Amino acid sequence: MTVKLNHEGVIILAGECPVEDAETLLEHLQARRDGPVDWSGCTALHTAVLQILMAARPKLLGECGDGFVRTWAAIAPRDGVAAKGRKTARDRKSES
Amino acid sequence: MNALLEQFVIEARELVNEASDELLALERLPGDQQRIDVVFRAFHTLKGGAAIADLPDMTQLLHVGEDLLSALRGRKLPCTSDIINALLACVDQVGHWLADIETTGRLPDLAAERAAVLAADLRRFLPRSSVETAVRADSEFDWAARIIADDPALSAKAGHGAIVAIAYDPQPNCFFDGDNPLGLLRKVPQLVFLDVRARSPWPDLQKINPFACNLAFRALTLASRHDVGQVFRYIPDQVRIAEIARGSDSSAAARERSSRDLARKILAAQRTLLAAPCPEKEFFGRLGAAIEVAKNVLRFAGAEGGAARIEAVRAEATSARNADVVLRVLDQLLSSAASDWSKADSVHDTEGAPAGELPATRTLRIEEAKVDRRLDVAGELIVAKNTMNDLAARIGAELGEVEIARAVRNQTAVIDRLVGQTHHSAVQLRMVPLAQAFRRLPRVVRDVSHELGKQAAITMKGEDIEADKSVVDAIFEPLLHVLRNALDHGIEPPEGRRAAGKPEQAEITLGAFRHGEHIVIELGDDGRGIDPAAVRRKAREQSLIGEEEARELSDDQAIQLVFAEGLSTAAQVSQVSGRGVGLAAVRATVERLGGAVGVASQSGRGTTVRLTLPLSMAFMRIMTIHAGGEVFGVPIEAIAETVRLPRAHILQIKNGEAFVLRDRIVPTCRLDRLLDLPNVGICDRDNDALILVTDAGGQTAGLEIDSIGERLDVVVKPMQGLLAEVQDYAGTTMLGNGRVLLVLNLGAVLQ
Repeated sequence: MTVKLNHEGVIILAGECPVEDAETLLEHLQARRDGPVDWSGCTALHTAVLQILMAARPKLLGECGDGFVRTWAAIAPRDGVAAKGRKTARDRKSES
Repeated sequence: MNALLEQFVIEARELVNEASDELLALERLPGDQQRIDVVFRAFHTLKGGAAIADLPDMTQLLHVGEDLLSALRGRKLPCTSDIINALLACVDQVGHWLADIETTGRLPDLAAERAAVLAADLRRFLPRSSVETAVRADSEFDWAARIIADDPALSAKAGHGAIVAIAYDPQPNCFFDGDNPLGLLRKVPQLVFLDVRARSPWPDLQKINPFACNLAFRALTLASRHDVGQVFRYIPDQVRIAEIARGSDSSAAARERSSRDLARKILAAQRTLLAAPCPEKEFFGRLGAAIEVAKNVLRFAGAEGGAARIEAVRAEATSARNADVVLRVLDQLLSSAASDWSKADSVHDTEGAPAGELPATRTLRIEEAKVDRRLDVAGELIVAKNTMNDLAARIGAELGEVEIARAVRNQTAVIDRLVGQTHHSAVQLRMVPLAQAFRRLPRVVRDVSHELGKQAAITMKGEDIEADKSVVDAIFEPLLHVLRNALDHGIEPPEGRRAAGKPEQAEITLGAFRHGEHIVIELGDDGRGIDPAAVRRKAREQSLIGEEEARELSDDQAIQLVFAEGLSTAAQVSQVSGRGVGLAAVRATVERLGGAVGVASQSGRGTTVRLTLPLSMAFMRIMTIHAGGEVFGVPIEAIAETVRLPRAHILQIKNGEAFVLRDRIVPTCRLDRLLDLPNVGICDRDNDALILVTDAGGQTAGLEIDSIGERLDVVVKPMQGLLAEVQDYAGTTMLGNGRVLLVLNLGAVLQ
């Protein structure tokens, strides 16, 4: 189990988050829609898990530990756009 | 002009008429789907024809019109009068072009510019989204082209290599198959773009199925198409991969792209120039220059529509002395992808009505000259047949009641009947519905009433009645005069109508019906009517009638004077009518056609002008008369009655003569004198006078003649050559005995 709720009420994604984690994450978010979710410790996000984050758009703590997702699939705050790969790509370009 | 173009012009003209009729009807009944359908089909057919005739500018304009109509048809847009105006402008333009093509065989030089401006005008009504979806449907990978065009860094990175686009729409149950779409995408080498989005809107979080994939992926990579294919080799059904046309820089696509990059920079420079503060006196120069440069650069980039958009706001910017509107258009252009500048122009075919749906009109086009030749022959047959009748009568007279005489008479009767049928069918060939003349009038009502600031609607009846083509062709001008008069003088301005307790919108009725061998066309309005006293006064002032005559005239007779030469009761000459020639010209035209005019009016209630015309000009019923030792024909319809009265009853009034007919004084004159013929002396004091009473001159008058001959049905040929200018004669006809008979135009004779 890589999805945990810590004593401060933060949903923590850690290590490789497989497809099953989507259901657990969804249950947590159904209880507390805004999270927050700390995804800095996850190393690989399954599509199903990303999808739950995109649907719920909780408050996210830190940068995604999964580089691919960080680069291409940034999740906007709830009033923003779901995902903006292009911007992130440009951001990264300007960083390098 | 080649045969194809010629055919197109003929057909297009009908379609243009149809489209403008229906558009006007739509304006009255917005949202009438059936009419929208008809207009749409007319546009569609016109567009197809224009494309075949190789008239790209016309095709393009009609195409945009068709798009707009398609949106109206799909109820994506309300049918507003602004839209109808724009579509009418488009139809009008096509009509003008058809005239140009007919005279010069091609479109005028500025057709492209004109088409672009009108197309832009039409396009502004189109919902933005409908344009976009249409474009997207065109090509699966437009998004990729757009992204590449918008991101120069990406192109730079790709260098001369290809960019491969991936559209990956995983199946909802893909997780159960063990697929991890993100995992696959991680394996795509040299990814340069990835967009992840929900395929359908997210459901409520409580109802979401965490194991149903609702994501769609769009990606670009610099890897080869083959390598990308390898990654997705197990799920070819869920992914589409395409190389985006770029290739070497010598390709047309690349040239186009680089020209667009340049165009973008130049447009941006114009924006900067216009946005910068500018001394007052330089403003127009700067605005004009920026607009010209922007237009040229957009044309260069193949975005004619963009150029038209700029041009469309020029007037507004100039009159407002403010470049904001131009800046706004420039911003829109700069913020949309370069490919979109012309995308809005791109030709794509919307679903048109299949040809089979069109009502099949079973018609045959025949050159008018051929029909006329047929009619001429039929006319000559009648003359020959009349001669036969003469011969048969002579045989009967000379041989008595013998069998041969009876047989000739019987056969003559058969030929008589057949010739009659032949002639009738030839005449029928020339019969066209009055609608051909009527259909242009609603447009006149609309335009003229707008111009005058009045409101009027026209209703038409009997437009399917048929008459000779020459009558129908000739009737348009007179009707136009009468209609303009009604709109200008008859109908009050809206406030006047309100004050008079009438609805602000005036009703004009145009009706036609058959009356024997004639058609009667009545054009009525519900305006202020004609004031008989004013007409009398005017006629007196302009010495059209004498003091005495003015007193004698009944109100009804007085208002007929509006048809007299030189009388106008309008206080001032307006642009529309009131020059005092209008109604007199109407009378002249109608009488030349062998018809008559009349007017009825009720003060405050309206005016009705009635035109009576022969159904067919080819066939005329005449009466022969003798005057001055000559024989003439007189159209029967010009004769109100004939009276025989003792010469003593003819009174001398000043220089003229007159007689009393049922308590009315009717001026009379001798026909031989009017025609400068010798007085052969039949009219002496001892004989009764024989007088034809006619209304042909616009008022009742008498014509004294020597004697009356027979009644005949004849084919009257108009005067030709040098004689065509002689107004006194309506034409000539040949009698059974081979003599030529001159047919009088009594209206002109009495002038």
